[in-house]
Amino acid sequence: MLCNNLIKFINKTFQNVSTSRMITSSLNVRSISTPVTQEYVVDDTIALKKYSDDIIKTVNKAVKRNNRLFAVVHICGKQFKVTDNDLVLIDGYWPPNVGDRIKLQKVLLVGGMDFTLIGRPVLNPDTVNITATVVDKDLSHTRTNFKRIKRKQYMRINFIRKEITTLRINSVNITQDIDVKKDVQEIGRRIM
Amino acid sequence: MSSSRFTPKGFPSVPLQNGIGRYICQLKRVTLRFCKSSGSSRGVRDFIETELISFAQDHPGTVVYLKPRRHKSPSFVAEYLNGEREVISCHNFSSHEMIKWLNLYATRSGIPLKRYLKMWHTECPSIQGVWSPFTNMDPALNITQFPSKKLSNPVWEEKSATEELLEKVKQQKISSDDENDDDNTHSNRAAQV
Repeated sequence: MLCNNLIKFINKTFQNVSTSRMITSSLNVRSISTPVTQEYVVDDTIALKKYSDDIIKTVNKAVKRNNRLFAVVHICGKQFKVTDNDLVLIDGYWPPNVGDRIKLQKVLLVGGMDFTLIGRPVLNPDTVNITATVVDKDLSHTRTNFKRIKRKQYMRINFIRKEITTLRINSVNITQDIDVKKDVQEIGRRIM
Repeated sequence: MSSSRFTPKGFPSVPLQNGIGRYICQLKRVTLRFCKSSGSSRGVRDFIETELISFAQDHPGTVVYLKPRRHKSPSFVAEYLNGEREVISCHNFSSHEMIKWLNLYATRSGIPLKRYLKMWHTECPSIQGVWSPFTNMDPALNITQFPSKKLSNPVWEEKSATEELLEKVKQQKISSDDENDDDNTHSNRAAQV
């Protein structure tokens, strides 16, 4: 066994020597190619796991402190940075009616005082809970759509009033530990 | 044409912190004024016959008044909890149009029309603190003595061609030395084996 290891080690050193010789020879012929190098990859998965576990633990602790959170949500084609009691205006046709309570599920990012969770591209909807109420549904002021093509005798003018929906964000919460994973869970739009 | 220049501008707002606990319909009173005989208020009369009761049932927080007025053009008045009052003419409206306009005025908050400068409003603009160029800087900077020789130099200086050449020659020398060393060790190890 020991002898085998020794032979292996020697073989490796021999490999190294040969490569280094290759480099020098190539330098002597003045080639500009990138030097060939070999390196031993250190297996540090355990260390990395410990590192990430520590971070997750501290974040879970920070979540329990119940500080105010903020989130970046994707609503109707636009992204908004929201916290509790924010108002968000949505321009154009959007079906929800006044008084409706909505759970916003496309959460791209959640952050607190001292941590930030970033979704890839969205966070787990079981972990983050963002609720909102539709508060106001109105028409915008009259906007003008003016089109003209020069030298083509084409001119159009339209007056439009689009729907504007006001959303009140009721809560931004993290409902469970951030590293909780079900045994079987749908991926949806997320990358795990 | 340029209505956006003359409409008052402003930021999003909602009266009475609506929606923080629950949503309250801001329309408190609707008064329908119409004529019992003229053709221009036929749609309003249709609406009253068919849809009015369901509208009133859907909006329990709103009072609906009917005011028949002889030979007057029909209109309705919408009054809001914040004291705003709007009169909308419904001359020659169909019953369907009446539903649409009444529903619009029921879902409004009563704040006069404005051009929104922002589509977002918050009371708490920053949670992690506002970023400045010094936020994530090394705190060692706080105790450095100025003028400092290191900080006065440019952050990155381009190497001249001569310097690069010299460096390359140096490297080549080192690597050729290495080769010699390697050869020695190689032979030593071979001898050991």
